[in-house]
Amino acid sequence: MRPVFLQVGILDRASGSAYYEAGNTKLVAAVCGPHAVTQREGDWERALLEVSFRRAGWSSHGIGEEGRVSKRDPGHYGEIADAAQFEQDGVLGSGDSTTHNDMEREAGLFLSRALESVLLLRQYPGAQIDVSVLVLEEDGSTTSAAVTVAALACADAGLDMVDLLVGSTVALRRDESGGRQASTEPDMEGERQAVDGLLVLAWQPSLCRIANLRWQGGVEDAREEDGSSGVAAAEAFSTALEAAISAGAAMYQAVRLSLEEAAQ
Amino acid sequence: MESNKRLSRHEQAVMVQLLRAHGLRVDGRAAATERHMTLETEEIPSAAGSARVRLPGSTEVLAGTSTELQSHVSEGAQTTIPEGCLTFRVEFCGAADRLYQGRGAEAPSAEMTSLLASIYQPARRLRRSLMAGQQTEDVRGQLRTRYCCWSLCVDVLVLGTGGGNVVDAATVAVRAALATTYLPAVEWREGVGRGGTAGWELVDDWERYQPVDVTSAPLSITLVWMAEGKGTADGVTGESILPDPVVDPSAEEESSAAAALTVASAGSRHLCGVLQRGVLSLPPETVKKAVEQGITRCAERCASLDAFIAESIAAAEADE
Repeated sequence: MRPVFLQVGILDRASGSAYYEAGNTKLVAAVCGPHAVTQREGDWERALLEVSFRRAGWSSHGIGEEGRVSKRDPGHYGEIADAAQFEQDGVLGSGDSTTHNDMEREAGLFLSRALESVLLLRQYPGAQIDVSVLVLEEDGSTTSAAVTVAALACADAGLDMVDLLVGSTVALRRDESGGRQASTEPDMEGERQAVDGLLVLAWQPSLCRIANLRWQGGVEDAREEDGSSGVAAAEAFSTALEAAISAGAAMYQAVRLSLEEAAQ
Repeated sequence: MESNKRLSRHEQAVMVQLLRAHGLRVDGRAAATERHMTLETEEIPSAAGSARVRLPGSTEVLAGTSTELQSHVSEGAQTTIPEGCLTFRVEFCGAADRLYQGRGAEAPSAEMTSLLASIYQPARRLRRSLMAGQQTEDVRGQLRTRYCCWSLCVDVLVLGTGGGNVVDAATVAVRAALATTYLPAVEWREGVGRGGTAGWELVDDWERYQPVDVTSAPLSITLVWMAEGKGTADGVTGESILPDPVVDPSAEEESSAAAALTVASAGSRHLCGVLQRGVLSLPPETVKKAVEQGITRCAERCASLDAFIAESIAAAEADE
């Protein structure tokens, strides 16, 4: 795991804010509200939670001006039949046409579902709470970092919550002996090497419950066409889950320290 | 995949009570019972492969594949095995629900598209079966390899969402559409390109058509947890989640669920994706158990889908 630096209350104008830094992954979260609603949809009984997740244009090398991930960005091939990519991976225009905006939308959805499970939105009927996360620099484990920093900003804003949230990412890969190796909070290179699967977890550290989770299976290994069984698939998942939970517990210590520091 | 079939609190309370006391659901199913799916293949003559899936209560998903040939030239020796390309396009019809009219369909369509793309990401064997041809030649001592591969686009049309569980229906439709897609052989021939040069040509011989390899194409199972406590679920600690999840939820169950988990797996070999939704959190043991259950059920579903496809292809051949 990379060393983490957390700071609470870095912005004066927001109700609550927090900063997260681990390696080259750097994020800022700000919470505004509860305030009067700007547009009404859904029911009045609970507050409207508006989550925005944005990546700064300079946050990653591969991101172009129109929000398209360029061909050089590992793992994303927007264009079809790119020669350089083909030499590297042997993939002719891979099916993964993920763009910058797709990734933002997915991470934002993950974040808002995780936050909904800890925020007591019923305490603020008819109000609106805005949570915005800005990625300043990106080097892997961005979604889980966003979960941690957003929950920290909510706590700083003094919103009613059932628990804090910590995010953790686990990349599973195969070592030479065929055993599984879990690396927590991987950087971009580590995420790329996750041939066995990638787990993003939003963990409630005091209640010991999963607020949200996403598992992305690794690319099939051509060597073991029929070798692995269903048990192995489930095992890989629970290995990753255990690793993610213990990483979450470690992160919780850092989160608590930073909150105590801010309170003093 | 929200639907607007919302139940009142009292209706929800009855639903939860029935489930807790008798293990029964409103439509009479037990918690772990799936509904029968209706599957029709090769519905669209102009698509390379197509399938229509229906669930009781008017969930209807139509999937069709279209193919395109791409060629590429690579200098030097090639070390990795090349792959074809698979893309998805999902459209929620405005006719399915008032929610999807105008711009309302954008969010669910985008979510489903990225879900399908992400669970098909591990399917390397499928993408390899989309390679059409390979031709190596020696140009003044330099090796040059020409590749030709299929680019497959799967269009998914959600025609109805009234029966809930659109995700599972869509994965079945996509897998069935891919399984019924046959690709013609491609050969490198002299005198077929522009100005009489050599080029790739389709071989018009039905005997040499190849099916797409769908052994690694995933199916998904959605499990839904109900909560009992103060009215609708809202992250209130006073609520508790019923321990046993409900499989293959109807629209009413989906809209009043506290948490949902979609498990996607190809046969029993590969867990392709797990996605959680809902406003209540889940204990890790529950999630682990649900994932195991999901893998087993996906394997069963894959087996019965494969059997159905094989049967319908055999029937079509017998007709001819």
